Amino acid sequence: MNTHTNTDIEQLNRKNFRNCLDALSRPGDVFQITPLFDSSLLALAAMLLYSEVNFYQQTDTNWNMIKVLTNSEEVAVEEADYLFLDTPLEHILMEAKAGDQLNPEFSATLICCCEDLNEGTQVKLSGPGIDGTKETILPATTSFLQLLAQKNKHFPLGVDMYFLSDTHMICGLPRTTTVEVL
Amino acid sequence: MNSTTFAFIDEDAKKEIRRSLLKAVALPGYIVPFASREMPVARGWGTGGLQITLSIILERDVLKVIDQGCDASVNAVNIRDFITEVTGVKETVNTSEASIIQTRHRIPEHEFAKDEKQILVFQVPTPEVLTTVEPDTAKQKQMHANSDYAKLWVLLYEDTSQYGDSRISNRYPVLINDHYVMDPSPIPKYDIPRMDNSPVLQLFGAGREKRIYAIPPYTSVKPLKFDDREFKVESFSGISCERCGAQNVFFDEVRRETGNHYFCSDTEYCDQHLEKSNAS
Ligand SMILES: [Zn+2]
Repeated sequence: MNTHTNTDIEQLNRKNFRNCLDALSRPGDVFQITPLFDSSLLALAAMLLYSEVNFYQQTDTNWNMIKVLTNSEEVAVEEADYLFLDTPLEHILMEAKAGDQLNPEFSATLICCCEDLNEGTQVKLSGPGIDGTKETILPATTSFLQLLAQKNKHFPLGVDMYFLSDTHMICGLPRTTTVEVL
Repeated sequence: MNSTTFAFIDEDAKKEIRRSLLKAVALPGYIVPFASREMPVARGWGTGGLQITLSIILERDVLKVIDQGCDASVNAVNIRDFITEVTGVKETVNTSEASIIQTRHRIPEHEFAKDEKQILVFQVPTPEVLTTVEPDTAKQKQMHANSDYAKLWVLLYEDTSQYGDSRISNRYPVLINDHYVMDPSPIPKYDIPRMDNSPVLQLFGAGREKRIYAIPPYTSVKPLKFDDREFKVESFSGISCERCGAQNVFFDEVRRETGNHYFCSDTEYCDQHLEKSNAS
């Protein structure tokens, strides 16, 4: 494992945060993530996690360094603020917390890995952050995307998502995005 | 505080603000509370806007700071100097050159380019739009949860029937993405339609109240109004800037013995317009 100073990690965090902010603000557009410990998933974890938030993960990765770095607690799916997954999983999406009307921000964010952002389901996106509509591909199955639509049907309740590719590219999908499977 | 910390705020405090920013983007117009330590700068410096800017800024950013449209006001200069000092980023007065624009009470006059991913950071004194009609914060939250804006509508109705128009001249309530009503910060009514479907990401920070909210790019922003009423912005018809000759912009009105004088509120726009007029 490489050695990183705090300064290095902070620099990585701010670069990766900005790309996440851009990705969530412009759904369907693709941005670059700089990996940490050779993993863009861990890079996002290092950026998002700190002592005030918790997470769930179902991945092949070693999380010890992230836990030490961030002081963030690993919890059950239904409690987790952030869910890190090697692949989009429907039962995890179902159980993820969606917030409530008074505090819709008490909801989960899913970070799902995929091989390639350009392989998956052809969709048409609309909603905030999209100039009109946008046709693109999302790296998830039709049934996952239908479940996501179900989960996000009653705004402001819902979950926000990021897809991360093997080539460290990221695409954001806030709960406000309407996903129409083509 | 570590003196080598980039952008002044420590990492965990930035993470808290960043978490709130991402939630705010996913919930357009919803006010996200965040925890923060006091910033060691004076109130009125716009600590809310400052905390956002310091949490999003990168080495490659180009920063513009304006106060009521003016780059040269003491407040704007102080904030710009502080941010450039703790980050080393390049500064500009040029709207089209800036990647982050921190502003108090105006949106720059120049139209924003579509694909530049510029970010506008607003300093907000009063984040809660419902304070004028409901003082109780728990009730305000409940009203937002129920999309119950009846009290705002009553206020609007009373104004319209008594005065023929809303008396609200700034901080005009806006409906975001057909869901939440929010306070756009004390910008003039002239700037309200310019928030609608804008290509820029608009972020709002209130330091004292520790609140963050956002309007993503290409999001519907509608002033609260009755269907049969026109939304009237400040009228400057027939007026041109005394310095540069510009028309159809937002003007500062200066009252002198010689009468009322008008100048572009956006000083950078005024400079550019003056340069163009002199060149032609
Ligand atoms: Zn002028």
